[in-house]
Amino acid sequence: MTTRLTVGAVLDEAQRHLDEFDPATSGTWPHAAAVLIRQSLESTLNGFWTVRASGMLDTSFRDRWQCLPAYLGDRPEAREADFAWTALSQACHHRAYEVGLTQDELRTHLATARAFLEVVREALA
Amino acid sequence: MDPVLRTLLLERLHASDLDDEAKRVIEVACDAGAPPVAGTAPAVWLRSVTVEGFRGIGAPATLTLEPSPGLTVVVGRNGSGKSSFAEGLELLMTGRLKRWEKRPKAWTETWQCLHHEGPTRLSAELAIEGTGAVVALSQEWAPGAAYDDASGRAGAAALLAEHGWDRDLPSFRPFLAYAELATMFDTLSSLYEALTPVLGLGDIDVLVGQLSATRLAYDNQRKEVGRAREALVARLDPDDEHAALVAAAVGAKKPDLDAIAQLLADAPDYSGDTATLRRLSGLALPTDEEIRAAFKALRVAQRVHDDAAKTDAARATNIAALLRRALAVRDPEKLTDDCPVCGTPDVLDEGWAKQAAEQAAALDEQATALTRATGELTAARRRVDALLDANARAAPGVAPSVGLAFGGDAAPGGDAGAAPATGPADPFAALSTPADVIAATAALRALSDRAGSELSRRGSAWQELSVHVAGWLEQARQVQARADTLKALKTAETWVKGAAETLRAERFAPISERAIENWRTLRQGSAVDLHDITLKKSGRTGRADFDVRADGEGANALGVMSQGELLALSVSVFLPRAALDESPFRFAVIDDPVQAMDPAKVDGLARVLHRAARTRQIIVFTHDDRLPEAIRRLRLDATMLHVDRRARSDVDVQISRSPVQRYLDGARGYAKPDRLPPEVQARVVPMFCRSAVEAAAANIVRRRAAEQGTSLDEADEQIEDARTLRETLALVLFGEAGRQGEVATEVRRRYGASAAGLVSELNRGSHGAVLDEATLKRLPESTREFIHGLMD
Repeated sequence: MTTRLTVGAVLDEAQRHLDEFDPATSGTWPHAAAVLIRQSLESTLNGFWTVRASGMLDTSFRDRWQCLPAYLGDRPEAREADFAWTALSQACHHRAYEVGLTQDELRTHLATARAFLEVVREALA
Repeated sequence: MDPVLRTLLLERLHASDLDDEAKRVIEVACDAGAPPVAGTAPAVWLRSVTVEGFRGIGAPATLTLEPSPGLTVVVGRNGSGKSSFAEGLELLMTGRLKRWEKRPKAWTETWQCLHHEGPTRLSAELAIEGTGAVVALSQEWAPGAAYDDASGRAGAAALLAEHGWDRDLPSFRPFLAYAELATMFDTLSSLYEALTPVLGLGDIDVLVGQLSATRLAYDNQRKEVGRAREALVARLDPDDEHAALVAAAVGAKKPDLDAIAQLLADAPDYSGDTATLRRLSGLALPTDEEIRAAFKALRVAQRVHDDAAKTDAARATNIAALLRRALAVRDPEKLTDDCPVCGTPDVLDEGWAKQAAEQAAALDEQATALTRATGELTAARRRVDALLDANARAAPGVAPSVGLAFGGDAAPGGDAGAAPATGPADPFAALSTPADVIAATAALRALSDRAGSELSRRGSAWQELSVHVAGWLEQARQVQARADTLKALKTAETWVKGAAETLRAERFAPISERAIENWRTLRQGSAVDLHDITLKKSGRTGRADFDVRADGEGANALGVMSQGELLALSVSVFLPRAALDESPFRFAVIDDPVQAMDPAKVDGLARVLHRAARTRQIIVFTHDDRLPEAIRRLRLDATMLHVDRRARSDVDVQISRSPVQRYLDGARGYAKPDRLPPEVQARVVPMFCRSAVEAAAANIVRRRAAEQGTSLDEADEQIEDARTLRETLALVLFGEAGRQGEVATEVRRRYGASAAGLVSELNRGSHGAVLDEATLKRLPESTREFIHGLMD
């Protein structure tokens, strides 16, 4: 239960960054939101594997996403989550030529993260 | 005209409430069009492109493609030579390069590879749908030749023409370069031009053109006749009665053409003025010789008369009569008698009688001579008087009425002042000498000549004008006859234009819908929504209108779209065009569509391309890994090719992993010991293997449909609908998913017991049954072998 609560709290925090204008975070909020959303995706994924095959926590995140359909089925929400995680991972690293994610993209990823959380919650229920 | 289009149009025509003449005009125009091109070009897939000595490619490099539906992504860094394949193919097929057409010359001068000696050679293999026959196109350029030098093109051009592809290339050009993508929206008319030919309504536009050209010709003729009429009336001499009559008839508000024809047919009647001129010009005037002769004869007669007049003719006659009486009264019985007048006796003797008879005869003769001289004198005088006849004498008085003056060279014709000066005085008052008469005659002759030349001036002027009037009359008659047709033409033109608009909208609707659907997939985060695309014809060209709304506002918001969005919109519109059944080109080549797109749009692009690739061979060239990455991440089916350019423009094309390969590699990787927790491994490896078989099966079904020319949409739906591995395999083995129950037996029969075992292991393993370690270990390899068997 703690995992789910944490994930939910993290997503709410990311949402706050997107919705509220805070002069203190000016210029850094997209990065912060990206980090928070990615963190929630990873927590959800790890939560799933912890229950289903805890040995998977020793593998790479790539493997954890790749093997997911074998247990969760080929769910579009899982595919979207994989995609969002890849995009966010790239955004979380500094690259000289790339601009960060836009607010719209971040909102899409946030929605994906919530949907993924929901799917995992159902699967584990 | 295209027979289908003709029928479509005529059906609408007969249902319309146009008048009969307008209908007739359209029917005639429909039939008058160029005969329809027989047959359609066979559908083709692209099998390979080989490029040598062209732009970035030196030594021959070949891009080999699967001639079936599917997405192929060719990845290569900028300068790797990947675009050279796309452009080489375009140049080979169309003989030109759209991207270069508006570029300065320097662009096209260095088009051959700098690292290559010898000729530039482009070739491509096209596989014909249904028969599988391969057509090889190739063209060669000598070093230094211009890229549009067509001398080495005969073979390729002949092959393209033989199959009818050359006809369809302009309409369905299956190439889309980045430069084109980026500029597609620069002018909305060029987009219209790009989209209209694919609708196959060109014939209707030609029809409208024909009607409009005929209408214009008729209308111009009508206007020309009006203008000519004014010019003609201005030229017709109002002083010439006949011309004036014609002028009145021609210049009438509604000219009576028959009356004008009648006027032309009638010879001019020369009454009035013209008659006077004719009389003057036809004066019978004596020559100077005749005048002199007449006067000489008069003089002679006068002299003779004068001589004769010296005797008294009356007295001589009386004396002669007296003498004859005296002779009569003498008694012939007597030898002598007395004079009965004076009484002198015996004087009337024989001698007297003889003498008196002689005297009487002489006296008679004298009288006769005088009478004759008098007569001759009278005759001579009459002849002199008759030298100028009544017409000639009247001429001086008549001349002023036709604007001519008599006498003196100074009097010009038509000078009003000259007439009164000479008018009252009798110009013939003194004509007593030959010189007088000669002078008068000369003056008359001059007058006559003037009248003559005036007459011929009027005559020739008329003759010339009458030719014009006749020419005008012919045109005017034609215009009159065509008046109804002209009216019908105007109606017909409007109607056909309207019908074309409707047909255009109907035919464009599916393309527009598909484009909008594409855009919705592509737009991702974009606030811009595309509601409708309409093609509007205006004048000679037309425009494509995009109902684009930003955040639901503004009906034509192209201006708010970013370059990346425009690019995405271009691809959205281009792909439906390439997917039309009417196009024989089953492939579409897109060069670098990713450039200005943000990451979310690249995902959308990957989806849109993948959707198009269900029924078409989509070949995309891209300079970075974003599109391949999105395709992999979204687990879309695609073949990736990598192009690398080494020193001296040696270009290498390497196939990167196909989906089947990728799944197999995944399976192999995860089958390795200690890579994953064993229980996870037991589920993941069969899952990857099963995915590999399913991907291969989908490829086989699509390729088969492409080869046999059957519906690709249907094949794709079948693949989508096949939920299980057995259903998918039934599709491959029997062509129908419903026979899944027979799959196990058929696989055993065709590929052996181990293959049948594999199918059941894949099924069980993917559904959580734990496979033993040995089976799991050899699963990837058995799967590879099975796929090999299936593909053969």
